[in-house]
Amino acid sequence: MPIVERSWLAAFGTGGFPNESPLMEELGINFQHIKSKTLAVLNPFKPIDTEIYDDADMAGPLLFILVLGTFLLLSGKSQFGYIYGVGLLGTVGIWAILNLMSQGGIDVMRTASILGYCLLPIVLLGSLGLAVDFKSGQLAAAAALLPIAWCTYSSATMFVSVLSMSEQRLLVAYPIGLFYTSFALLTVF
Amino acid sequence: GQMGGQPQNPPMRGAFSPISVEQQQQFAYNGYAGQQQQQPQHAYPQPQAAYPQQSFVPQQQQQQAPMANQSTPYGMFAQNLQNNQAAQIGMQFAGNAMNAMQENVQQNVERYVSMRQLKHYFDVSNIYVLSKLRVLVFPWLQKSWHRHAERDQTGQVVGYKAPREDANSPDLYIPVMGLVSYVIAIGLIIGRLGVFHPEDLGYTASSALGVIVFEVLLIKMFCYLLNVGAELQFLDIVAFSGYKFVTTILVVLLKPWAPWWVTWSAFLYFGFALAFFMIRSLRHALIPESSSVTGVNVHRKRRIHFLFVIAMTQFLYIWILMQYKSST
Repeated sequence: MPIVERSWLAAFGTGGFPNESPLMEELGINFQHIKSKTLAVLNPFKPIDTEIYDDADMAGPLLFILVLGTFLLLSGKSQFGYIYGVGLLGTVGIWAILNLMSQGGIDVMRTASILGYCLLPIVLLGSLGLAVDFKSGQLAAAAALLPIAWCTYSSATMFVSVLSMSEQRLLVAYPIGLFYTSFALLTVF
Repeated sequence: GQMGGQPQNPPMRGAFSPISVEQQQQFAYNGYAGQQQQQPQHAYPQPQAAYPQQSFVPQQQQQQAPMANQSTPYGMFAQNLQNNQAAQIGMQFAGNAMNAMQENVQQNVERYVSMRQLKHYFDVSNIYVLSKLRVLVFPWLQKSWHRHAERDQTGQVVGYKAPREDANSPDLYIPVMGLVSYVIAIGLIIGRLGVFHPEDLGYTASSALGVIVFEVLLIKMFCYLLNVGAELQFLDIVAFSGYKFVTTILVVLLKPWAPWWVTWSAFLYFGFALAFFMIRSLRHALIPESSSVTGVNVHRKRRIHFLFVIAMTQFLYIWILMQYKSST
């Protein structure tokens, strides 16, 4: 007969069954990896350890997308559906292109994870949009260029190191740049 | 013999055991007849009704199983699946069905667009892309438009060389990138004009795809009428048709911000450049150099006319693609 604690605390906590792994491990959320991946995006010039991308977790990207949607909502544009649509279509497109262009393949979840983490600069652009009104003026195009370039650079670096295809770096960077430009379009206009 | 320990078992309820201990005992002692009487009362009697012996094995094993398996109800669920023959057969059937479905889908997709062929069109390098862009903008600089043939060991021609090795070979990377860049460029323009709405990205993409589909169907119809077979593959036509986005982007970016005569002279120039490009690219397929086939010479004039029509419609396509919404 299994030893099951019958107490209120055990019912609401995670210490119920013996030999049960911690909740975070069961959910697949590894805070250490999330932190290191986010720092890798924020500082793209540091060499990246590729094996942290093997777990393809979506917790970070989901958080970034929700934060971006919230910033857009706060600046008057309720565009969660468009973010979802553009993100999904773009991710599947990038996955298809990368599979067609490279020798080895990559699966959808890993591309989604890498693309999602590198979305962080666009989220920062969205936060800037709370303070500055983009529609009026030249500021829009100029302000969006830096985050797009940043996103594209870090993302292309990660893909090139994960897929090990170095002589096509610019060819990989261009579609990723288009993907992030469409996100910037949603954010700025 | 196995039933000795049963009554002391706690009524652990997994997903597959909605019946109580007493009823399980009745299952074991009755035959099929008894079970069929019991069946209507239970939510999911099937696996256990058909195989009374095996349904009790998990309970038996549970007594002797290590602690880990007993600790959660799901442990018993997994054991029920493993030891239950009906469930096993069901799972195998499902697995086979999934495999068969996947193969069926893949075969049908292979007939229209094979992966290996697609990969051939994306096998590009930086140099290829740069030289192709140069050819699209300044087509008269290109000296030779001849496509190199790929030969296998015996010297037979099995196709054309990949874009990486042959600068005249069409690829699909530039057209696809061109299409997406065109949609984003239109989005940028509309955004700067202040009338952007995310739906416009979708509208632009569908109208651009519509232009491509129309042109591909038109060229395909011409090929059918002229009896052009394997010299011009379907994906080649798509590729040649998709190159127009490169020049269209250059023209459409001028439209909102340059004086009208600059825009229209750019339109004329790039229209002629695109027409020239299409004529030179399609000539090798539609009008073969050698006159070995006598029927070809009879229709030679018609072929030249069709080629001319294809080239002149490029102006129409660029004009269509240049339109965008300028006010809400």
